[in-house]
Amino acid sequence: MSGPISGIPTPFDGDDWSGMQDKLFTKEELFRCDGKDGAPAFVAFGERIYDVSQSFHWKNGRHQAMHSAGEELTHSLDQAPHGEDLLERVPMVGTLVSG
Amino acid sequence: MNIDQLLELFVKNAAAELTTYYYYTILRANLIGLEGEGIKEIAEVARIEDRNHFEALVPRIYELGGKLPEDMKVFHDMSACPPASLPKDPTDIKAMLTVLVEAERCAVPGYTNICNITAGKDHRTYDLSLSILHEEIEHESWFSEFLGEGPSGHFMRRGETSPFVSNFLR
Repeated sequence: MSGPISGIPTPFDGDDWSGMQDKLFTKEELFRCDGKDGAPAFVAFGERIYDVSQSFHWKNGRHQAMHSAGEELTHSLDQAPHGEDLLERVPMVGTLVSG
Repeated sequence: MNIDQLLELFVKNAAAELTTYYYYTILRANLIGLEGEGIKEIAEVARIEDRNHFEALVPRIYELGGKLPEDMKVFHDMSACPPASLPKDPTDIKAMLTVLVEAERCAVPGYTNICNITAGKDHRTYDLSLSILHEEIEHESWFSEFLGEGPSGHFMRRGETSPFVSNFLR
């Protein structure tokens, strides 16, 4: 991965997320949004994909030494010491689709 | 349990404790006037106890085979929690309390997570993390109550500081 992903705006190029909630991501596309080398840091909870690039707790696409951006973290959140409500603090940027 | 992950969490939380001790020093210095002086004492207790948490975490880091970064700037930047920076208007006591309570609300899930990881597996690390967690939750409660977020079941610390962590400071 080197640099931002084509077609996926980073949170640094205008912060305009309008319409992004409708974007569909495959697992492969999500995997590339790992927060490394300029890529945005996205995580999936259920079918919803959130941008955690601006979160202090996701620096370099890593969280609590155990979790990485670019992954589907539904079951991890079940075991986390915080609830789903924290995701309301970050923008939802799309939907995870199978395939 | 992954020891490398545990050590990374411990070092990051040690960084959070020491940096919070530093930032709380600045907050405390600015807690002046009728309102500021009213919360200065609990801010000071939280400040001292956060330093104690750092002191208690460090031996366990080395016991587990880890180490602290040689560069203090690296250590600061790897903190598990954001800087508890002085608000733009230090006379705004609600803003000061918000900084304080947010710092504690960062620490609480961090130690809860370490307890979850180590429960039943690493008793010494679990005991230490749980002791710190007790004190962090009390700090959060104090500041939350000053913000009027809910009824109080607490009062400020009586006796020595760090009643839970002091076993690890002897």
